[in-house]
Amino acid sequence: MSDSRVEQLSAMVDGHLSEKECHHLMDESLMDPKLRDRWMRYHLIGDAMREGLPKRISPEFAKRVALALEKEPAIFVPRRQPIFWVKPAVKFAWGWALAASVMAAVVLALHQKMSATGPTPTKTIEPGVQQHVELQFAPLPIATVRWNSERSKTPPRLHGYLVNHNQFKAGMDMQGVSPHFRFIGYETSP
Amino acid sequence: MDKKRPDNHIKDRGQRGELGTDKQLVERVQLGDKRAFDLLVLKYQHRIIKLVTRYVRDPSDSMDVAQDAFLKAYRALPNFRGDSAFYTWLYRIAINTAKNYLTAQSRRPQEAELGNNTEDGEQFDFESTLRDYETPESLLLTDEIQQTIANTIDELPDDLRMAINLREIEGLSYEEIAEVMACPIGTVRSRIFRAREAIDNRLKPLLE
Repeated sequence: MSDSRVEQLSAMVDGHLSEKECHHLMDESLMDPKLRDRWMRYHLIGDAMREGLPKRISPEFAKRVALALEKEPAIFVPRRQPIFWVKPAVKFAWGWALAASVMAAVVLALHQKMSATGPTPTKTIEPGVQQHVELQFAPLPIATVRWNSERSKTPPRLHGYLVNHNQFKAGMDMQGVSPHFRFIGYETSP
Repeated sequence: MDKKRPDNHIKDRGQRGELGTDKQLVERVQLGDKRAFDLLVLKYQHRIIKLVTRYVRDPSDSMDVAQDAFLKAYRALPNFRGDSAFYTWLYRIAINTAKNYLTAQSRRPQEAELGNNTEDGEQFDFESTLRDYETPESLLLTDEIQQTIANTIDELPDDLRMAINLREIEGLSYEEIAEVMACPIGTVRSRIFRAREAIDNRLKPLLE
């Protein structure tokens, strides 16, 4: 047993060993009877200096307790998860960053959607009709999206897919009404 | 100030680090490592036996009660959350075990030294398992041990004697001792270790 190990044990008795070193040394002390005996004697010295010893001591006491403990089952307590407290300022910054990201994504998506879908219907519908359609269907934007008759050549094999897609599309349903009856169909004339 | 209270002991010695060592040992036991409990028994056995002796005068009985207190502590360890220091918790268990023993024996404590903590803590049923500890070979007089330690300390060089006294009697931390002795913390650690080794060399033959 090296002097440095025993010096570490002395520091552990005083609680002046790092957690990692302590952990490592405990592993050793638990296995090495000589280290364990030293651990006991170092504490005995402290108790004696503070006049904390009983009138009689028995070197066999700890062994008897250990023997009695052998009959006891090992206990296992699940470790509680450590709670990580985030500083309020960091939390606040995170919230703002997240909100800003979401907003940016929404704005970009809307911008793209507007530029992609916006001009198409105006080109195919006459001005008079367009005004009529906008007035009539403005409150129901989904219903106003009509397919160009030129695009009605969609292969029939996709019809089932489109129906199913609309059936499960979020936000398209109405309470008590099957959505595909209301929204699916091909326009034959503009 | 009642010097016998465990909280005072902790406060006086200022041993936060030592509490950390206890915490690590307790956590090991709670994860199924029984051997870690042995280290706690080796550490606290004398204090607990002395505490129990204040209630139970018979040396053999006091050893039994102290052993019972340790076993009860082990069984109750799953419920120990670490809200208080381990020794404070163990102290209460030992007191309650001694009180229950006295109740079971239908007799009163022979010394009017019942502490202020008697109303605290858990109540346990006492299981009497008398063992014969008091054989001439196994019992050592504390006086002999204390005399050996005192003599060795007197013979130590001044720096070692001062370091071990400041640590064990005054309860100063290594940092505080370093300040008092105007030396690095590493030197303090080394001096305390060397002092302990010198004492241990004289003590070891008595315990074998």
